[in-house]
Amino acid sequence: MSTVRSYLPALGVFVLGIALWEAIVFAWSIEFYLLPAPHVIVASLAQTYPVLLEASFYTFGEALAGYGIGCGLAMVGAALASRSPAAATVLVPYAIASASIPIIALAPLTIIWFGIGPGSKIAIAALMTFFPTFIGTLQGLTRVDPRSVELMRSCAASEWQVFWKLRVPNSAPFVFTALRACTTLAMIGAVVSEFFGGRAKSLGVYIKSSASLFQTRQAWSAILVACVLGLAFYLAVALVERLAVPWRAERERLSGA
Amino acid sequence: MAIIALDRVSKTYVSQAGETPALLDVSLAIEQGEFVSLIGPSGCGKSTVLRIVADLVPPSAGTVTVNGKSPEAARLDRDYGIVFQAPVLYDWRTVEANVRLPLEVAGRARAEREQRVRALLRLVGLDAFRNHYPWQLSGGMQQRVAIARALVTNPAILLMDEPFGALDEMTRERLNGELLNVCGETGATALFVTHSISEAVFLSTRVVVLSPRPGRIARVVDVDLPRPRNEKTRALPRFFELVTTVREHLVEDPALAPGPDGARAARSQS
Repeated sequence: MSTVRSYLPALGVFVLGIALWEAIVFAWSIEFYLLPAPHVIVASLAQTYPVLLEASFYTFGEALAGYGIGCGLAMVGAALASRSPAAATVLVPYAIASASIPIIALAPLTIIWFGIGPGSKIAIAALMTFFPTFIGTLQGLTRVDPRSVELMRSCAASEWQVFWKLRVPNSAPFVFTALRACTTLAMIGAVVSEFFGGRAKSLGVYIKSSASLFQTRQAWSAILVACVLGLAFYLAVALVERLAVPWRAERERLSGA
Repeated sequence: MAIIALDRVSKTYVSQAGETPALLDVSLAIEQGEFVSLIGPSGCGKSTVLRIVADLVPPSAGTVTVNGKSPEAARLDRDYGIVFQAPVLYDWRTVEANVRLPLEVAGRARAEREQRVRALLRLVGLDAFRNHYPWQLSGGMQQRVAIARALVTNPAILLMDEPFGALDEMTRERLNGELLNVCGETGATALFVTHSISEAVFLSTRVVVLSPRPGRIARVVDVDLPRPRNEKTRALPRFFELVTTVREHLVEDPALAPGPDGARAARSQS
């Protein structure tokens, strides 16, 4: 119950924001094609939802596939890099530098490489999620308390045992922080790379074509669906985190109380 | 034959800042069943002695024999259990799972693991807390978990590096008594590093006083206090005599004069 109550202020701000939006649109009589009022967007959703549902599942599928490939490869890559300090010193500067590359700018090129279909969108989502997960996992695997390593050494543990019994559990909080952040990145990657061309019934193409026809209500309703999907994705990963890393949630609850 | 033997052991740490001699010509023989404390001012290399025995650092010179073999062989044979100054418990493991860790690493059978873990938790009085996480326990309880973990494989030797240094005086004295009971029950030979004179005298059969930088053995004090030791031991005149003897050999180092216990404890809270 206390957790529900702790979300009340945020919910209040949300309601207030929507009310303010309605009020501004009404007070200044803003044209609907510039900025539709929230109730107009919701009303439009009632008509467009069959198309949007199909489009959003398609786009979400691309995001999910890219997320799985990007995060999966990143975790394997980080595990390998953590075994070799030399590899880590070579790779890490590039991984960090890659954070400043606007990966989305590669979207037109991925269409050349992987075609107009879902392949190019999956590639972008995978690229966007790879580096944050790689860095997070590598940090988690290597930032281990040296005393914990000594304890393992005193038990005559093998490198393999140190990896599975110490480094992997130690990395879990780092990994999940990255995995949560990457849910949003994967959605952005999929939707935005669809702007450069893709299946007609996909969120990105739908938003772009609605907007270019000044069908702002339709565009906004698609954005709303993308938001809800992104949030659901994030919460699903957060739920997995709670189940996989129970000691962390417990500990935070304890320190908060 | 001595279970732990150091023969003219020296250790020099080499870093970019230069060479730091930590130990010089330390020779010491510890017999089976003994409880030997190493005491000395900060930076006298007393932890280094323990870490050499544990094969966590190599000596620069001299020979070390642990349970009749090299320190490395003894470590690989799991001949010792170790307790550090910090409990070094894994956050993601419950109390029970933390104590179980050395048995898992050693690949012992499940039935044996369960039985040993329960026995050790009972021995340190934490059976009721076996499903708690480490961070739900007090500092003293955490250190008891660490002691249970060190003894769970039933090692011949128990190495302790200022295990109670971060605890308050009352908790420390209570754990001193418990530690003696635990060592008595398991029959482990103990090498104990401390900066508390009364703790060293209360626990030990012998107290080895080290001089500062580089550490050498300044004096070995035999502790002839009666056993079993308990709270009454601390009130014996002989206890005070021995404490005074140890202090006299420590006093030459001014750094130790204004009660380093408090300062060390505050610094080492982590």
